[in-house]
Amino acid sequence: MKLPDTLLHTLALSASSLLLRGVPVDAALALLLSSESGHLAVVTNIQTASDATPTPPEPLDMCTACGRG
Amino acid sequence: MSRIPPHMGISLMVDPPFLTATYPLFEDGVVDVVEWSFDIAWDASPIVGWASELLKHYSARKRLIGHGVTLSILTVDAANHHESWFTRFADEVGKLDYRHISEHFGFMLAGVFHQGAPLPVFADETLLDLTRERMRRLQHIAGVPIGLENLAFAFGPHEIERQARFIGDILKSVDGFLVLDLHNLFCQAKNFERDITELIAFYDLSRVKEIHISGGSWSESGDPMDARPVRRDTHDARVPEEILRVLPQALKMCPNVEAVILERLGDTLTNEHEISHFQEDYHRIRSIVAGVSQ
Repeated sequence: MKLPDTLLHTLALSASSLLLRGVPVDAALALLLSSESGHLAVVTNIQTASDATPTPPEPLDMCTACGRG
Repeated sequence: MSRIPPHMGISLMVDPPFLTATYPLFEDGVVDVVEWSFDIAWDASPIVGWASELLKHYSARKRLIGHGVTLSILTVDAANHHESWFTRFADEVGKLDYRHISEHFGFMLAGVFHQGAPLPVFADETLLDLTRERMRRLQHIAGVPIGLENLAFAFGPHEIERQARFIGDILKSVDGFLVLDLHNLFCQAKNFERDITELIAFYDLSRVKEIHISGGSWSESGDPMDARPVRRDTHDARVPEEILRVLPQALKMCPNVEAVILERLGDTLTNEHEISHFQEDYHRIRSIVAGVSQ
């Protein structure tokens, strides 16, 4: 079943915030890099632009893929 | 005649690692149906937003399945517990639209013993009457088909077949369905050195509406006279190859299956390795299920 864009967005934003809630970084990073919907692209960019030792990104106010907060 | 393949889905957990592991599956649109153990969440804080949105979405499309855990249908003397459970259950089915709802055969509540896997009872007419009455109450409140899941535990090798017969008698009396849990049968097969396909055949397979698949673990028996490990249905590891090999045959033997559900405890998906194996298992099972009509 294909999920609507709004629901995928909710899941994606929740998933991205997991980085701030103690989920192992390698697992969260694997999720972000495997995402194809675009909602997580901005988080991926922040994450991959960081140092070799990944640090959790700041929470996002808005998704740059679809503009939703 | 070709057959419509069953829906493939997952048992929803609200642990953060579970979302990490399943997001790619939702994103790919390969989760046809979601199963929700609603009573586990009754005493917890409000369900997290993303899980609540998922439940509403699948409910609105009649793709949400209910699976109770804590009713303990075969506990004889627990009137307060049962009254409370049924009251909350009525509230639950008023909030979400389930396509069918199941519980577990056996009991998990008895006096001060109140935690653990469901345990079986020995069949007799009094217990059959009692269980039939509770199943009818479940059915009346639910307003949708109701069923029972077979157990992982058995007190001895001969009890396995007796359990199947008792479950069959209960289901027949309320026209209920069977949730055939293959890993539960795998546990019985391993612990009593039986063949899993032989155990599947003990059940009335025309009543199987749903198949559960999961992994589990081995524990020490604690018996100094018998050091063999005990297989348990702990939902904390990937699906055994033997179950994946048996699944096509099980699907052929169960002509009325509507859904196949992969179960995994969310807090056991703690690293990339585990998540990758979980997703791989999901896709393998989905591929087998999709081939059922061919």
